[in-house]
Amino acid sequence: MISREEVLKLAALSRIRLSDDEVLKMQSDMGAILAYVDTLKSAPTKESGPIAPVQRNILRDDAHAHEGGVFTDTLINLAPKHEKTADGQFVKVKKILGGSQ
Amino acid sequence: MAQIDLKTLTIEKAHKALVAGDYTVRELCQVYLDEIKKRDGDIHAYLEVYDDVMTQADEAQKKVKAENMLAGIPIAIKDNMLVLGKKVTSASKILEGYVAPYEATAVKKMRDAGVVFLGRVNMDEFAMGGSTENSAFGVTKNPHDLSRVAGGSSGGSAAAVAGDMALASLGSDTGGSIRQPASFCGLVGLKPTYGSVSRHGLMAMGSSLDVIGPFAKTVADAEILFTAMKGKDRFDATSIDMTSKADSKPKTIGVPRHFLKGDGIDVDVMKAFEGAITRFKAAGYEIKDIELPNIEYSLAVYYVLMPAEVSTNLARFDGVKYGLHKDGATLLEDYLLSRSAGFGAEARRRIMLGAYVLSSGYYDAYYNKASAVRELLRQDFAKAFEQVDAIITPTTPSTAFKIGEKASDPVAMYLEDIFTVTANLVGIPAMSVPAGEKLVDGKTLPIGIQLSAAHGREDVLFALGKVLE
Repeated sequence: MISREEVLKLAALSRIRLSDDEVLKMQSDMGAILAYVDTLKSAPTKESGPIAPVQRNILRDDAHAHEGGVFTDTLINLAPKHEKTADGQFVKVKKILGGSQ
Repeated sequence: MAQIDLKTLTIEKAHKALVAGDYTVRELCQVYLDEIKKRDGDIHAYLEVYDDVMTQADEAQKKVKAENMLAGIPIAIKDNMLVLGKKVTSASKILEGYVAPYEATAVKKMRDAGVVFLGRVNMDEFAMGGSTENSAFGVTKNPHDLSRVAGGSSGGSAAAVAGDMALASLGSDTGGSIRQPASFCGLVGLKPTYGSVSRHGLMAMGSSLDVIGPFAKTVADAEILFTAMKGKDRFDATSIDMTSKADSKPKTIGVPRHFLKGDGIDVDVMKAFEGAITRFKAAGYEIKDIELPNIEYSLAVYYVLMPAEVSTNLARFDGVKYGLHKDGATLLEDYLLSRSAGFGAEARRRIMLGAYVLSSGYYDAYYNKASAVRELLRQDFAKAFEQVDAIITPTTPSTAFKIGEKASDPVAMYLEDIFTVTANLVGIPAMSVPAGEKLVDGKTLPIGIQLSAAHGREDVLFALGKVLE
């Protein structure tokens, strides 16, 4: 079982708000899932820290993929709150920096 | 117009009829629209039937030619792929009002080939689940028995084809989401090699696992769709061009007997499985016992890596950039309210589980450990494919289950993926093919078997799949 505090912390990290009932349900669900994935502990991997999977980088040219601005209208209009001013088009969000300056 | 028998219609047959002029694309599409009207009230495969099917049909008609197999073929699209200008939601409330601003590469390729999109079909929210019960818009029922699930997460894609409401469909497979519903609905379902089909325009769930693939009634039809969709795409850095390695015909098939013991597998599923092996033997294939020493860890590896990727991918849904917005007092509260109102229970569970396995203190024990075991699995399969051309297992431990039967027990639901997740972890192609039936309460439930092959060897799956038809 995973503790109530842990669930609340994970919920905060995940930007999800849970009711008291949902916290309880999450404790038991996550506990059951973690108990299952704990079988991993017996897997015969070498204890040599993280294993880098065999992968390679795929790079693309440092060039414009398309003409600037062609998708702006469409994408901005998909934002729930947006505004068009003389300075351009904006996605609107609430102020995050302190009060009165 | 010639009579169209939807039950026995395939892409190959429809193509011939369209070229011969037996009927037009319009007429073919109308027959499907009528069938949807008649049956989808009960089945609920579609979230939306597009209103421009006839316009698409007219465009497609111009492309009907002997060499163009897909022109005029009506298909359904899983609701996590972007079709330009159409609503798309991943069956989640959090994408309320979202309209695709661009088109998925796989969809674009279909459109260019002259495919007609009938509509978008139901799924588990963000492709998380094995039954479509996690859809925010209601469950999809199995056309073979309406009291049972169609499987998931691509349940709508499977039910649309099995219910004769589309000639074929596209789904996505992260841990079995094409193969399991194909098995439950009696269809061919292909999970291609990772990277063979571009993920551009497919809503990401587990980015190192996701792949788009076809549902069809025959192996040949699945092959036609896959061939039209595959290829490197500049919009997906993980996409690859698969140079044809079809220099050898498959001869040997491996059976991981050690993984098929225990009482978790339905007796009739095992019978169908043994029946398939017998048919391969009769057709001259050599059957070999193989060992996949770490396969028992697959599901645990999957349920660590997948949620980790989910929690990362689903962080973008914040009520600011697109979709649902719930207004709070602060920006943080906007996030909390929007995400809490928008995500269903399973999505929340996996987001939080992902946050857990990625958090400091647990990262080594879970994420790193799972990544290391994933490497072991890759090695196991590489070794196995030195000895055999394909591996055969059941697709799922049992046939389609009752709606509600597993909904409250996440671990029981996850066990559905026991035979399918490995192909995603390793990146190899795998296909479910119908291989038998089981009679339950007077209803005939399909049983599928799964064939998997080495990277890029879809040709092996197609050759073997045709033996079972």
